[in-house]
Amino acid sequence: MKSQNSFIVFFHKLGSPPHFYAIAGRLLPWLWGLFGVLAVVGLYWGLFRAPADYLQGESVRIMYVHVPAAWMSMLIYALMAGMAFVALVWRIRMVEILMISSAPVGAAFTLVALISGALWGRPTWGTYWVWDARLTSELVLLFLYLGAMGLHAAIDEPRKAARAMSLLVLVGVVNLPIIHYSVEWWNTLHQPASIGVSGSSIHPSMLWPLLITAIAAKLYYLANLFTRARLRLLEQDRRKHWVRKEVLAAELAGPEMDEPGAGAH
Amino acid sequence: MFDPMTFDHGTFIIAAYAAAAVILAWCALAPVLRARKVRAHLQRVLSVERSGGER
Repeated sequence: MKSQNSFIVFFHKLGSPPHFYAIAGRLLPWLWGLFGVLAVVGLYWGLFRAPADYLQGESVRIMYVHVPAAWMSMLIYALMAGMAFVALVWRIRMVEILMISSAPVGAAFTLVALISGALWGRPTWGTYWVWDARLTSELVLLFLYLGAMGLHAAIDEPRKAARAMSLLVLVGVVNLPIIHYSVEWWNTLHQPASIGVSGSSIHPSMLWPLLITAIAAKLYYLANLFTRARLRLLEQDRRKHWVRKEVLAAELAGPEMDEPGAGAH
Repeated sequence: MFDPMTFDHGTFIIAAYAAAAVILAWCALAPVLRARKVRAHLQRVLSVERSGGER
């Protein structure tokens, strides 16, 4: 019971900007470090150790970049939609900041998925791009990310900007099932999913590096999200006492404390 | 084992990995560089305020 209470207290503390800033600062070196290790292991395994595909040949190695990026593009948008709902209903400022900070990372993963997909499509399909349902709906996802970021940037008052962005994100969530089921609903050039809840049709020698890079992508998102959220807190709360205290502490500690992730106590 | 010197479709593979590395590195570095500027600005503002208060 006591541990349950301390967990609830910890969770509530995360809603407080100074506490979030400090906790995220302590987690950041671990997240970036773990991401680096897993990314190197997964990509080395996928690029040099995993076998070539019997049909696609060596080009299948693009999968270790493309698939985790495509998964993250959808996962981040789904998380943003959840945060948008919480931000609209409960008006929690920290959740608004996390939602806004997620958008550039989601857009980056979507761009990686589109570019790597085009580069995979050329040797396997014979073309970089076709206007089929999966590719087009993924492109729409990129426009949704860019639109949400643009809308937020266009409104000066941060809380109003977050509410407007939340509404747009919630409207755009309809695109997620379209992306996911597009390969089943329509006759597309893109292949159906190879990994589902019922199992995987990928051989373990290819599946393991794929899973490792997928975990690395999730760690990258968390690390990047915390870095961006801390920056946004510094900017929005620059006149508040806790930010001034934080900046003074960093100044006294020396130039190495300028790094985001450091100096939070 | 994949050998970049004797690959088939190697250009596409290298281009995909390079594009991913550039985009994700930029996405990770942009907030770090921005945070440095914000911190430096805040430190300047605070030092001006402190020197003003001492006069």
